[in-house]
Amino acid sequence: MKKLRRAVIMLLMILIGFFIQINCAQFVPEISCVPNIILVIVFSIGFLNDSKAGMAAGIISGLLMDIVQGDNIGFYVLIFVYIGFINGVLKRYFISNVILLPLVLCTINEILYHGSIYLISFRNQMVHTIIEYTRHVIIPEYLVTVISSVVIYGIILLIYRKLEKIEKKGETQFV
Amino acid sequence: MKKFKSNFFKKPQVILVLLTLICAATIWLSSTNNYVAAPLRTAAGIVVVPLQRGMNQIGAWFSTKNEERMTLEEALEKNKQLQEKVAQLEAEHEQHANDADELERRGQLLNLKETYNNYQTVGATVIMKNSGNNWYRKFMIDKGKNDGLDVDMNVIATAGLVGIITEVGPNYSIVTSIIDEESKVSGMLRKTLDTCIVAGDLSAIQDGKLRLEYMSNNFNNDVDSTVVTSNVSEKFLPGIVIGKAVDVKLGDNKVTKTGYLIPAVNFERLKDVLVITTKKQMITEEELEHAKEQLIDPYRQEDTSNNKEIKKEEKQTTEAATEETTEQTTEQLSVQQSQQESQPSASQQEPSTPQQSQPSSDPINPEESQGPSADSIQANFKAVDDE
Repeated sequence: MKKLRRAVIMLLMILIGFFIQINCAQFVPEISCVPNIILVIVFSIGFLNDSKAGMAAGIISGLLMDIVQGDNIGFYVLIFVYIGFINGVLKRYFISNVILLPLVLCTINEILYHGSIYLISFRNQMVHTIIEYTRHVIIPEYLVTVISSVVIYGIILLIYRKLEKIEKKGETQFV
Repeated sequence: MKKFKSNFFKKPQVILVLLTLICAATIWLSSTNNYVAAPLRTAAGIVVVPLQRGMNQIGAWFSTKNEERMTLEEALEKNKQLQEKVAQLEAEHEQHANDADELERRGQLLNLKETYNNYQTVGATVIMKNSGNNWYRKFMIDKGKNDGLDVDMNVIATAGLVGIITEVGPNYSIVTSIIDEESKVSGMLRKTLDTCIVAGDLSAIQDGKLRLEYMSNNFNNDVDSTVVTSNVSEKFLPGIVIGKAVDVKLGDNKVTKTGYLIPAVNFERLKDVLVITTKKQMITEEELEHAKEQLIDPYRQEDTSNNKEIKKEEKQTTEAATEETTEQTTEQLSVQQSQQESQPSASQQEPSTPQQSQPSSDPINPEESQGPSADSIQANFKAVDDE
């Protein structure tokens, strides 16, 4: 019951984040860069729960991204699963109450995400150099994502606090 | 033993390794055949597309609200500009109406029945842009396999070429636009037939431009800088406007030329697109001839018209039409008849097997030969025709 509730809430969060991300460009035509909301949600879930939950979130969001990207199925799943797992491990080394935490996590994960995408998909094709890619893609996206990560991580943290409270209440009622 | 097994598979590290293997397998499988991704696409068609349609309507509502905020002064200013534009366009339209009449008459004389303008199109709406990423320039449209769309169909807007369908689901398809990094379109100047490759570029697109590659040495955009899709392209139908070539100059090494292209379509405000349901690969030799004639200047049409008429019924109609006109065309007919006698079997096979038309355009693909000059292209046309 506890697990199911958590799973449903996690799924809802991913779906809402996904639809916000892919519709960003449509709602605000002036925006030139879309924040990577899915990445923030996956690393928050991985960090606040454990590696397994992070990997589950990674599978779902990876599949969603694979559908809309339309290349090979499994490419984004792989990247997001690893990000969920790594953040589950990182939990041991960070304290979750620091306000700077989303900034640190966001930096680490953006580097992981874009590094892997560059290595896997762009380096073979030699489409452009890493400097161009950094200047036009990584830096603008990083700035937008860092700002949005503070907000999103805060919301997810609040939801988890609330969930823990409800779960504790349920336990005390039964006992 | 049993306990060990269940504990072993619950470890996150083991799950990670298993998932990695599964993902590697699916990536490999989905790159080799299309059937792996089919159930996922069906699911996407059921879940994502209706939601996106709703979102699209909300987005449209938002953008109209946004436009309504425009002040009266701005609106008046805009109205004034538009009135001027209308007057200008009306004048142009009058002229074009005249031209169209003349074209029709000449077309009747030459027995041109089909042109590239008559390709069947399907209208579609863009329901998702950018797909949540900052480097792929792909978008989703709300028509798919059920509406008769397929991979490699060209997508145009009213102004010009938009892109090509790279993936198709039951009720949606994903279009890779020409401003995408991986997109390469072989194009040429409309008037002078100088070839080039239009490629998406990450830095150039910041100024709304595309890069031109492999430009032919005598690439000269002084006369008419409009770039259209080349007829040697494998996937793109000939004669679709791509944009205007700008900043063409000799490179630092004084050998190759560099240049940029401003696309005819405004990709930021893209809402409705048209999908051409005719594929370049499926197009018959005869239809291609018609399309070519539109591009090659009128002097060359006489050369190509010899080979144009293949079927017997069409030949008879030309006989009827040409007898009334000039002596020159009767000469052509004699050439035609002699050619038909020489190769009747080959010409009959061609319409039934459209795949055979493909190899004829392959050898002159500029992506491999790195930009042949305009003259060599025309020479190649002749060579193709004579086959």
